[in-house]
Amino acid sequence: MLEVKSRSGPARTVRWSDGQVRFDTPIVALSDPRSQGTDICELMLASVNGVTEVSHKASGKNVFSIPETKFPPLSSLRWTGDMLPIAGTNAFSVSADVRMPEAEAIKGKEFAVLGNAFELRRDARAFAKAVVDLRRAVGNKRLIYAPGMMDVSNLALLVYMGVDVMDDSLVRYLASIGKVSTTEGPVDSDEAPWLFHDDASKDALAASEMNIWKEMQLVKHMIKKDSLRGLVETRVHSSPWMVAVLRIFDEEHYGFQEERFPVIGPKFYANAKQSLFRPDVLRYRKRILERYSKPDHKRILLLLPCSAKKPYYTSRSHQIFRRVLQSVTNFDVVHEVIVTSPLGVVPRELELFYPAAQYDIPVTGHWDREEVAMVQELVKHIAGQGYDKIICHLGDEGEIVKQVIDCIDTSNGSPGSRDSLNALRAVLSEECSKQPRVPIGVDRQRTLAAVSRFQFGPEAGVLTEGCRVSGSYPYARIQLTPQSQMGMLTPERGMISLTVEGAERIYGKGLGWVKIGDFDIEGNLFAKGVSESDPNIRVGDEVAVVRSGKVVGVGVAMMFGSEMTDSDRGEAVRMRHYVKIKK
Amino acid sequence: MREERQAPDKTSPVTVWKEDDMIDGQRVRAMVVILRTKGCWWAKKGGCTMCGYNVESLDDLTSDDLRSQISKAALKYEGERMVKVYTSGSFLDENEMPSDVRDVLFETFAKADKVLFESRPEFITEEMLAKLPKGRCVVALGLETESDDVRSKCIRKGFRRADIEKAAENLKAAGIPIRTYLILKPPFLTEKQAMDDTIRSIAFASSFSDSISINPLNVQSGTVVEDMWRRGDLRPPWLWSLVETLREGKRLTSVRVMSAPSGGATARGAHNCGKCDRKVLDAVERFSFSQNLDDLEGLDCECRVRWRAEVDLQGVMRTTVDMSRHIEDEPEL
Repeated sequence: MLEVKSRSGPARTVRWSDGQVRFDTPIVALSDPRSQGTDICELMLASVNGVTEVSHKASGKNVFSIPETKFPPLSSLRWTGDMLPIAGTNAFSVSADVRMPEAEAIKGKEFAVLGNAFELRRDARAFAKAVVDLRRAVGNKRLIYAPGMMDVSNLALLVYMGVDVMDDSLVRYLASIGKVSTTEGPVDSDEAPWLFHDDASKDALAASEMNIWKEMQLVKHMIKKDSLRGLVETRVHSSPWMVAVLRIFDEEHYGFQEERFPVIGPKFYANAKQSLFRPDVLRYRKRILERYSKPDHKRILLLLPCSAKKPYYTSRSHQIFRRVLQSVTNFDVVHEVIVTSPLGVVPRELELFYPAAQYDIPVTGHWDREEVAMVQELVKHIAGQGYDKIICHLGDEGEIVKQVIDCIDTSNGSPGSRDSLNALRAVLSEECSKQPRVPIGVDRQRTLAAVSRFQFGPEAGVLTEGCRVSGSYPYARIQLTPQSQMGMLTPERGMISLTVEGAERIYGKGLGWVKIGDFDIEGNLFAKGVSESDPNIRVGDEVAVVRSGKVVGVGVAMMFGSEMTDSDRGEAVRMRHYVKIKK
Repeated sequence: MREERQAPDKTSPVTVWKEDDMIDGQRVRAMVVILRTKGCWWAKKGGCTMCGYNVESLDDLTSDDLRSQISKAALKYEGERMVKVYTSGSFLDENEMPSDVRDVLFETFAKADKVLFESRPEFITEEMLAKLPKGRCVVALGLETESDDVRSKCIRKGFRRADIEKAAENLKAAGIPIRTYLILKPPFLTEKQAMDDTIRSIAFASSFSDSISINPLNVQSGTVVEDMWRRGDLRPPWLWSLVETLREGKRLTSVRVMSAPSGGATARGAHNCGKCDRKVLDAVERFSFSQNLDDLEGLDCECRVRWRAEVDLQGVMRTTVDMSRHIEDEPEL
């Protein structure tokens, strides 16, 4: 039986249990561990008459085994596919082109063994495709075992992509030729005696096993912190194959990754070139292009630089900008939009959203071509939504922006200077005075509608219709009447949290939904209770719980949509509000 | 760049050389003649994964060409007691080796006590055997492996074990000694699977064979195996595996077990690290004649550790590719 304990993108920690025997993935099965004194091994790997047997060390219980077969290389799969797949005890094996066995042959078998895994170490595209295809084919209720390819340096990457079980066979092979496996790759032990500083035996295998253990602990920690992506971006630079795998995984398997990336998350660094294409970062930019539309009363676009401190409004520079803005009459017609990499643009009303409030990036004033193109595309998109005036109050990025839009430049490259701020105030005063007055209540209601459209979809602006928005920024309550609230926006959550009434209003208009059978919800909703789920739900999303066509509750998704109906255990929705139906 | 092949001379044998062999437990000189024929019928149907002998074959070859080849070979014949004739196909296939030419060959080498030739089992019929001179033939059967699964999937040999058993029965009845060829390490098997397969095959073949010859996979031009080898997706067996196989196999049988690896000690044939190859091949040759297991003792080299690791690990790694070539592509740290 499997239960997902935590996840970080496509990576996950799964508890496997069978009665009293249990272990957590990701895990490395070790054959005959050499390291003394440290219990680094929960799963044992043995080859018995050609059968690979994986057993639980403490109990000696067999977890799965897989018989040997012919092993045609990748290059021969076209004409040797009928040699595979094969089934074993609680496991089955497929070749790298993922030709699945008959459903009946693998029914109830929990471990899917990826064939040709060792060879995939030199074919990044085939590897990314194989892992994605295999995961899609076997679903969430099975564990993927990639034999013979883990060499410590790629451990984090394999886990990130969704590999649950690995082994030490390649590491043992490398040790037999005198190499210690490290996170930087295999190191020749003759030339690096320091690898053994606390091990008198100079045993390359024992040293490698310690490195497996340390890296595995770190990877598990990073999954728990939902920060594995950052570690992977660091680790992949040990080999071109890994960099290629991550790029291909991002570029060619965005959909697979995006589905598994939460819409919430911890702070992270966008340090690597590949950070620009993190699935959660790319999703943000796509949603700006596809879902976002500005509040229509915002007639003047004010482009501002980002700040290191997040959310932006908490930074000193933004407090100054806000003071200048708010000193101007009718400033509610001004739309503040922050220009930044890797997100492109962040409208002020979205600054609390993940990842706008979480990212950090090295700021040097030098922008590479990809960043420039990305920022220009998004700025053009925003500017194209219809403003009477565009004011550019930017730093280094001002030049990039001015290449693609017509605007008044008030900053001259130094947005914080007294002269620039005075110029900004003067232009804002003049432009705002030309616009019809917008009452503050209208501004807040329409701005929250834009937030709702971004969070749920283009039709979800109705959430704030007829509502009054109260609370002081950044807090906002959406109230139909003093007694009836639709939802609220808080910086802690970084998005709108709905009430049942709010959920009813936008059910069918982009809000994720989960259908349950005819029972009253008591506490949180578990996967077992889900009869159907919206495939667009991402972890962290607001979801409506629907019973017989009626919204009976609202909560936060703890699984992505398709996972809810493909899991036997685990919390599907953490309920916030729910109603019982009186019979 | 490969040079354009010169048009082959139809009237000359592919090659002729001399070596030692055994007749009735006696070491004798043997002349080996490779004849150019119309080629193996099975090769024309796609053929075996490892066999490239068909490149020497020619569709338009005539009986006169064959007669001419035989007379040219005869010029080099110095009365060796054994003559081994290979046609790159089946000697008993009359399409390849017409009966009148066959008779010429036996007459030409009348001084040889034994003439050894190969044939696929489908040609080893009672009727065919009746046409051969009594007491002078030795037939080599390319069983390759006792396993029908390995023979069909890894070799694509196109016949079954039962076909060989039937051929062996016919040969026994005709009183013709049998030399059985077994492959060591066809594609898709790990080093360990390959050794086990050949050891099992030695046990199987000893019931009808008078000698068993182990042929470690060698990479021939224009074959499926060569394509795989170029990509690093296959490694001919280690010589250590050959030694191990001979040792384990010999323990199971009193039949003579031998090996003269084609391309041994080269990248295309069975090889070790390069430092110990000669020494090991010499020991294999000594053993092939002496059948004394002591000849295979005391061999060692630092590369044995690496061989051992491949034998132990390829199975769990579920791969049969050339591991060191895959690893070597990575920079040294």
